[in-house]
Amino acid sequence: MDPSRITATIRPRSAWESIDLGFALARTWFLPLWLCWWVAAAPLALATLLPLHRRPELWLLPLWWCKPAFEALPLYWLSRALFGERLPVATAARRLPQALPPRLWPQLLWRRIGVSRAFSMPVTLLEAPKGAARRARLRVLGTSAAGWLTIICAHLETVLWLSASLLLAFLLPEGIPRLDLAALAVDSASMADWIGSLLILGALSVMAPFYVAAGFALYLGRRTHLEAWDLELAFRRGRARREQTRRGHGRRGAPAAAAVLLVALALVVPLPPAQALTPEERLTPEEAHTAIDAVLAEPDFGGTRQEWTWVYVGNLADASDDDSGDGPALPDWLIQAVAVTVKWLLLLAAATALALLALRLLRDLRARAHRRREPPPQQPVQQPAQAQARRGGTHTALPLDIPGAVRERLAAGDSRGALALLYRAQIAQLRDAGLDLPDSATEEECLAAAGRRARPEQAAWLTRLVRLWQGVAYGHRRPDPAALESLLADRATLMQGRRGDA
Amino acid sequence: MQASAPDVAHDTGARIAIDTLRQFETPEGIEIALRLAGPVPRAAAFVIDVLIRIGLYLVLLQLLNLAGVGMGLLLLALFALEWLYPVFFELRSGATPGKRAMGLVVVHADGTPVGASASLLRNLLRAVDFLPVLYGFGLVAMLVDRDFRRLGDLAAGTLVIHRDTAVMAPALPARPPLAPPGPLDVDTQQAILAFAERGGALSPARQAELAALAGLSVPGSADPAATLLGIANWISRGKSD
Repeated sequence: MDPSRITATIRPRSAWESIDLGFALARTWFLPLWLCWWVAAAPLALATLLPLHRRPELWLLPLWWCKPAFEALPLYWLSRALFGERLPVATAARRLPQALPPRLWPQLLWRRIGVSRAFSMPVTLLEAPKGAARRARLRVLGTSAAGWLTIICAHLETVLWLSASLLLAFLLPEGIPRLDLAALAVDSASMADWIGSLLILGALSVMAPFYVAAGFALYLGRRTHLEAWDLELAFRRGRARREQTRRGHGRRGAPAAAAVLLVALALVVPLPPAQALTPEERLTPEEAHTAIDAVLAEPDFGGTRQEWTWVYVGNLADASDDDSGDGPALPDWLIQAVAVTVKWLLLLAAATALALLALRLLRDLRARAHRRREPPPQQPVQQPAQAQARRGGTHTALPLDIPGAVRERLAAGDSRGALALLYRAQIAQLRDAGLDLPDSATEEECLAAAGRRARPEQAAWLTRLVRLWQGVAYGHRRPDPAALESLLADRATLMQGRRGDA
Repeated sequence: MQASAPDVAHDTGARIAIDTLRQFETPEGIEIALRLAGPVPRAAAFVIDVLIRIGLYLVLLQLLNLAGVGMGLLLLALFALEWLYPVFFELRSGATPGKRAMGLVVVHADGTPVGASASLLRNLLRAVDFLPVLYGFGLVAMLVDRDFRRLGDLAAGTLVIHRDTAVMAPALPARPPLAPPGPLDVDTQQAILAFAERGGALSPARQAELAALAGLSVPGSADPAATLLGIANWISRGKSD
């Protein structure tokens, strides 16, 4: 057993906290522990099924009595998993004879009645003291929480069982013969009785990992208390760190890992200045003060901020009455008039605001309906070129003579429109060639798709086009007319080549 | 041990050790660890509360002696006790008498004292946790949740934790302070102080074993355990002069 490989935090805990740690352990490793329980329980359950198949409650009795035997394997597994060795359940099952040594027998005979089983099992199985030694050991280690653990876990088992039966009874749909709750309790060998017995077995198996782990954690907690395992771990780690540091100092050009560790240590470990710094590095108190002030001035260490809140300061009207008690008070009718005016003004403002809001909504709705009815004017800047190509459906939206149209736009000074048209035409052409380009495809996606399908010179041409188009669309750079012209010329050659192929 | 020490340290560092602590850092940079309470102590606290309430009911049964109005008063008292008993105590001191007896306390998930809305919510949802019978859902939720929260706790954002008792700083055995042989990291310093505080509970053999493990030797002091006590005095009080 190497405490430095332990997978749970070791610290002094109260008995109840130890039990909680056990529950946390059992939750972490519930499945393997549960399966380990069944490794021993399932064979016995099946074996006793044959002679006792008419009496489910008698069938449960040996299963209940043999619980210590079922708990031995989960305990074995847990005691290894805690120190970092997590056996596969199959391996653990093969070690079942090892986990069930002869010293377990008293647990199944006269010691079965006691309530501190969860706690005495680790002592018996893992420490293996005999006779008087065992009694002395239990006396030293023993804690009253072990008994409470057994009592409470037995009740939790009952709660699980009753909850499961009631849930089943509540949730059975109409039409299926209802589970007779009375028969569940009284009638033997009925269907309900079997279901009830299986539920009890299930509840036992679910609680078992928690019970075993809680008992084991209680045992660990006691040993930690008596033997200060946490201090042992801290001393070992501190010593290992010091040795690491020393080794790192001793060797110039030490491996990178050690260097990293050193840096980490330097960051983490506050070294007393006398040892850490050479005399040249040492600061005078004044220098240190300025350095400290500079650090403290950083925003991490807080700052000032102004907050405004409303605070009730009492009834100022009374106060002002006191102050100007002899001054003329406003006539009531004036106050009334002001109040009524302000009220109506506020109402009017609210109504206006509502009306404006309604108008605004109406306008938005109408605009949306309008937009849906007719396609928008062509705006290559604002919409993806592909979307427009798709909206056209076929090529009808595209002019027949693409180079001509492009030149026309160029002549009109609309180089953006010209490039957009060229790009759209190219995308439409790719689509015709069977490329599946969604409307949302970006230029790069189009390029990638084309690179997979098109001929290399076509792809290269498309790349040039896309770069040019991206420069215009996103960079707002005027395209070089010569580059555009060469694009158009190469397009013509490409088209001819294609026709030649066809 | 020495050869494998770096591996082990790395190993334990990489894994997250299983524990029942939830740690929070306050804006001031102070780490606070909440020690979560699991189903067993909470069940025990619940039973204590039930017993207290049964006692109160037995007293309240005397109300039935008042003709007519007595029944009404009794029903009102039953209602208040069933629904508001935990809320009342949680708002007063953070724990019902049963929880207090078990050393538990209810807090918000960030460790602040439980407020009225959270307390009401978590106790009203007892009705759900109670289903199908005897807190079946609550128990399953506690077993599954990594913070041992029942459904009411999940809804209200509360935790049930072990109450931190005010610890008196235990006196260290007085020894002449000894300067440690080299710089010590914080963990080791804390461990040395803890060794000095808890040493009395350990057997002399174990004390010697632990002190040897610490591997701190000071010229002029042969006994490792005494050396550690001296270093502990040095850490807690500084140099002797």
